[in-house]
Amino acid sequence: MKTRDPERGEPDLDELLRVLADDDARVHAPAEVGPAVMAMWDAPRAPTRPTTARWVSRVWLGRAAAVAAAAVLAVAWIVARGNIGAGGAAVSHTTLPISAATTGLMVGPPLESESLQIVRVRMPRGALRAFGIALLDPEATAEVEVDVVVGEDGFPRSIRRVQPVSAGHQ
Amino acid sequence: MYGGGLDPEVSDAELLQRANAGERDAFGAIYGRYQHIVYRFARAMTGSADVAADVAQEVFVTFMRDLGRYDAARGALPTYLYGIARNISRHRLRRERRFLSMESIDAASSNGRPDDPANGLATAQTIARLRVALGMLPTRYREVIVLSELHELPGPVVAEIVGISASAVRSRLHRGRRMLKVRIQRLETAAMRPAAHPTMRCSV
Repeated sequence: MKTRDPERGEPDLDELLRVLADDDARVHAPAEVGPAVMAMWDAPRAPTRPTTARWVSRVWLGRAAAVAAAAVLAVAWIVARGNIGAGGAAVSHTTLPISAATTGLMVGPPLESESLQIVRVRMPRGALRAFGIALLDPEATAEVEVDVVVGEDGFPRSIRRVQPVSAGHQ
Repeated sequence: MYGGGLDPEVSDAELLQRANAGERDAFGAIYGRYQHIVYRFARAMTGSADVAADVAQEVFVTFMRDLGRYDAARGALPTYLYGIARNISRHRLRRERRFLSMESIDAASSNGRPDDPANGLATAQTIARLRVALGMLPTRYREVIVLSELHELPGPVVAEIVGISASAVRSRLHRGRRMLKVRIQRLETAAMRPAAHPTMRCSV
């Protein structure tokens, strides 16, 4: 195999690339990919919305997330101010300060043609810290329910509707 | 084999029309026709066979969900699929950069089945080194080299996939080839150097 330019003593890039292209040409997707794709075809598909509607809904989703983030900040600020006692000393919390507030935390941007799914999960309250949500009382151990917006690749895109698990749902 | 008993000569336009009407075999035929280019592209871009398999699956699932979105007037079907594969590959690269292994360095990943074992080993090592060098290039140069040199697509088609002008493709190709050459030479030099004091370097 010729891999060097005999005159210049340098690798003959065209030749190297040709060898790589030949090697590459024999590659096919692994056998399991095809059945997985066709299984998605066979699965009942949700009705697709027009592209414009999707973008409009995303714009509104973004606006709603911004409003929700502002609401969370406002609630946190009000709660923090309420913690200051008459003597100026901070009052410690023993209950979950997060109410039915909604927060929009973008974990990753959605792809251009991506369909999103919402998955409601229940998690220990402390796990919220991993998503960057500030906790006023890190010691509390209650559970919370959150709606996680999941992309097609399985990674979370945002988190919303953080709320404590009510006693009736325990 | 995908596509059932469909005539392999059926055009992309007809397959799309039939897939849009819900014909499973028509979509299967499209998959069978283009899975290899999508997978090869993703493999060259990500440097990982596992990630490439994921990307290939994601490309066709994305395409399946928005079949009606493809507009034949704006480009050929493979160009459209390359575009989706490019977006998803870049997305995965951004997200999983720290997890990607340099599995391409493994000479066993070569597909060659040479008759002469010694020659075959040299070829496999050369290919492995070239894949590593390719993986070291910035994405914008790598994608142009992969599309132009490995997939042998004409400049205007590469320009359409990447979303830049044909002259920008030429410029990136020229610069990318130069960078690739330097990296190959560095790898060859490193391979010939005796590893008396192996060092490990990591960034945190």
